[in-house]
Amino acid sequence: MEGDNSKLRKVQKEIVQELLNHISKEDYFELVNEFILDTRSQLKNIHTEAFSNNKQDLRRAIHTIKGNASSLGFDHLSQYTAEFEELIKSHKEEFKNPNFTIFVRSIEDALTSIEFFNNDHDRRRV
Amino acid sequence: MTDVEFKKVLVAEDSSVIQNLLKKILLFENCKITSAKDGAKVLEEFGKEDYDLIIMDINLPKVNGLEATKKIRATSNIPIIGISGNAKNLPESEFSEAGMNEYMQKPLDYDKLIEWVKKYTT
Repeated sequence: MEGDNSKLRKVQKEIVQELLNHISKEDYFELVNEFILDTRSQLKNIHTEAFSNNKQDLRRAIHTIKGNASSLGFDHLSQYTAEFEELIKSHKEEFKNPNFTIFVRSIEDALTSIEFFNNDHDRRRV
Repeated sequence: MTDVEFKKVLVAEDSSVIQNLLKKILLFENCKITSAKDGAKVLEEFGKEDYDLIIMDINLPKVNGLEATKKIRATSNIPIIGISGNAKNLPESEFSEAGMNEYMQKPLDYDKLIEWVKKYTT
């Protein structure tokens, strides 16, 4: 289940607009930067936990990415993570490792694109 | 010159991104935010200070938000607003039976959240 980068990096304008009713654009971009750093850290945890028996920490890392993404308007990325979260729940112990690699790579690619736009403060997105 | 009276809000949320987001949003509502990253920490912090409000994520590590709410409710009527990323999987009654005054699903409705913060801290 490879993620479509062109979709994963997009924001839902309504969510971002609502946020901007309460915080400045600079605050929003700061939070997006924090989200990028935090998600990269969570992805490292996912990579470690995928090959261990610690499924609780694995699920928490995925759940955190999902919640953070939706809170900042990255609804496609959040939905993709939610689908992966469901996949893990349904497979439980029999989950096939290559899917983790695909998931991690898709999220990493999306973060790279988001970081590029965020650093340029691309106002077309907001 | 009048002193501003800050509302003491305890935010129980394991995501640092959402913690910071809530801090920025509630800054303009004269809220002094204390963060707790898990349910055990919430219970520990709750005992240290006289808070006006708790914003409680359901899915906390160590002690989940519903359990932490029940323990707090055993000794206090402090207003508690629940937030969740999985609310659609839980029946509405779970939140009210635990003792939460309000609850909402992520992504949060910030206008509503601020309305509730004002409602429960005045």
